[in-house]
Amino acid sequence: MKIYSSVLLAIAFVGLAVGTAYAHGFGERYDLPVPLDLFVVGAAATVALSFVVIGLFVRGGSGGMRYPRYNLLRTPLLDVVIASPILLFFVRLASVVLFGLVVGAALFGIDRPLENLTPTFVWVIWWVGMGYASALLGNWWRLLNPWSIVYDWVQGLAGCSRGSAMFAYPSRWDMWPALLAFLAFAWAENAYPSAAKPFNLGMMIVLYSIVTWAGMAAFGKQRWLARGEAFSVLFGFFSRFSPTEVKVANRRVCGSCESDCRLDEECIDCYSCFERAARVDRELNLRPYGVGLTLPKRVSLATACFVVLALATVTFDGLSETPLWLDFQNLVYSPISTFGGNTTSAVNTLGLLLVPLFFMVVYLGFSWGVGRLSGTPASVQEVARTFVFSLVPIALAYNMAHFISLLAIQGQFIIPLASDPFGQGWDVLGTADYRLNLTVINAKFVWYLSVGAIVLGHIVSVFVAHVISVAEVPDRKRALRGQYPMLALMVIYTGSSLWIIAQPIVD
Amino acid sequence: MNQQKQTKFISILLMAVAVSTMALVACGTSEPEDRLFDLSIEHGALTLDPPVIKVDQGDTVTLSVASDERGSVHLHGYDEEFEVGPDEETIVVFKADATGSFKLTLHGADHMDEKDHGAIFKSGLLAKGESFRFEFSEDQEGMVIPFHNHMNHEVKGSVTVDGDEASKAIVSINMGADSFEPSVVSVGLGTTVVWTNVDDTQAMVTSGMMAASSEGMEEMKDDHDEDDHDDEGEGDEIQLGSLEVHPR
Repeated sequence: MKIYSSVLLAIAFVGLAVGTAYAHGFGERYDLPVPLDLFVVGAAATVALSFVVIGLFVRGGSGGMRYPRYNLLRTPLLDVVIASPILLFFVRLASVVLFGLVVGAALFGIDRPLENLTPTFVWVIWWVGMGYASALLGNWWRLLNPWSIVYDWVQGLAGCSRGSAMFAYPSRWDMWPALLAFLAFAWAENAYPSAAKPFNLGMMIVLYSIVTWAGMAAFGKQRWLARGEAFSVLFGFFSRFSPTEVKVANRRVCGSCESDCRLDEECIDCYSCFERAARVDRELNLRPYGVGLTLPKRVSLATACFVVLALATVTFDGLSETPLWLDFQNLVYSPISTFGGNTTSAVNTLGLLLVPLFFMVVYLGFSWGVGRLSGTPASVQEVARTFVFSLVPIALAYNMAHFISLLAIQGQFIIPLASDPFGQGWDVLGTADYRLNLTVINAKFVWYLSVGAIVLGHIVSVFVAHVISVAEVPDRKRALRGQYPMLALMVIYTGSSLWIIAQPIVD
Repeated sequence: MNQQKQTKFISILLMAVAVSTMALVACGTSEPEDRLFDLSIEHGALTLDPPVIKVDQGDTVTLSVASDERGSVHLHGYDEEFEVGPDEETIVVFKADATGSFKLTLHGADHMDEKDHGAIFKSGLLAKGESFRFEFSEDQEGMVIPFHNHMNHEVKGSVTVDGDEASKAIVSINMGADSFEPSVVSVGLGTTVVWTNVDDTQAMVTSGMMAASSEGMEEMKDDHDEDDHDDEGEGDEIQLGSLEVHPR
């Protein structure tokens, strides 16, 4: 594991000496800060609505979580389309072709960020867009993951039996490999000065591909996707918020599941079971937003750390563009610059390590409060592992607020680049001369959407925490009392998100 | 009874949230205007404090820019790029139809001078008998412009542009194997210099100096980066300020 991560970092360091520092990997943002009055309204609504939500629950209240489902695979017409193997094949083929194009453009195209397809595709369309799609629609990455598709194809051609693995996955490793890979990715996004350089990006993709395929071969595809492939894990977290789920009706299939089905009654969002299940047993359900986050009972320590790390890096991306961070940079600049190297990058690296630690300490502190007030015999760590998913909606909402204009404006670069992915002056689709339209998204629209999303995310978070709390603590009064520290944490977190989008961007 | 109270409390809260949101949506609508900004750049900085130009969406913006040094100003997002210099004010007019905060940057004013490699002219590859011509105008007034054969850096010369010099239509320079002939010329405004390759090997005449000057540039860039470390990289781009277009 040590070797794995250090190799990843070492290769990622290629070309560190040159290049431009970009926050969030790539692209310029033109956002205006949210005006003060709107910020105040958002913050007030957050506090007020928290009490409304709590008030509703006090009256309503419910033990187990039962929610409505609608099976898309039982819908006439739609079932034929969704389950069509031909359509599925072409969707996967398209994903793999696109993957090839992205790697090809990075390695053989022009080495300038804006004239090559890869930086815009990776940092704007895929990274930001897939985050949105996972949270708002469902786990697209499971369907489109090119590493998984190619691996399946190669195994199929070689006639290997599915699910074969060379070694048993060491249980101690848990989700740590994925966490380390994500940390390296977050570093490339936020602290690596040349992450927008097509060639560097290409080398990172090649390296990560090798690691991913090696992991799949060593420990089995599904196991590695669930434990070692950072993006499957991360987009999996995001899609727990989404309104779609996969479910296996036959519990016998899940009985032999190696890891993921820890839900005692039903087998939901377990893709290895879904893949093994007979067609009649498969369900692809619509469900209300957010309920998926209430499903995992008590996650492992590595999972909890991964979730907190994801929240922290999402927030750090925005934080690193505020005047506050600039002041911090100026403060630590001279002492750090004595070590030589790229100081700005070093300061951001430091931030990328310290901010998640800070988040973890704060979260553990509030978890301690939950434990005390609800009087559960569970330890602080166990409480933390129980409630961690309730923070996800706020982070998702912040992520959307932060990236909406980047996706809408910088994302348009994909139109001319589609015609000339290698930067060779081609015009394959006749769109090479497209100029960005900056008026597609208005600042006012961005403000209302951002504040609305963050406040709404807060409400869902409060709701999720409530459901978890009632399920965990049998005594209702105590369960409610135990929610107050978590509610306070959520108000703080939501307030910070609002504060960040009310700051002018400096970079 | 208690439940009723709670319901009332909740409805009042919801109403309060709704009314403040609505009020905000409606506030602050006005007509587009014509806005004129007289900007001046001194030593690579905008003499405007804070360096932010604020307009409202839909305004027609006129920027009149004067600069003590030559350079090129770039308004990001709108992608307006224009030359500025000490002799005249540059006027740019555009409609501020996109909202946002857009950086205004200056390229090359600090160190883009006649000594930089290829800053003023650069020929293509010249075979024997081919020539390259460049007309010197008031833009180069008073400069001593070094030039060299890019294929052989040892071969160099210089052009002095002097407004008082009697104007000649054409000055010819022959490019030999190891020297320009003549290598030092003085020309008036409007004079065209014609370099003709008289040697068998290909040549390429380029203004400025080769190694020494570009090293100097690197040093200057490094100094700049140390002074102002938050604006990393971006080549020789200096941030002047920004244009904020606020929504109506």
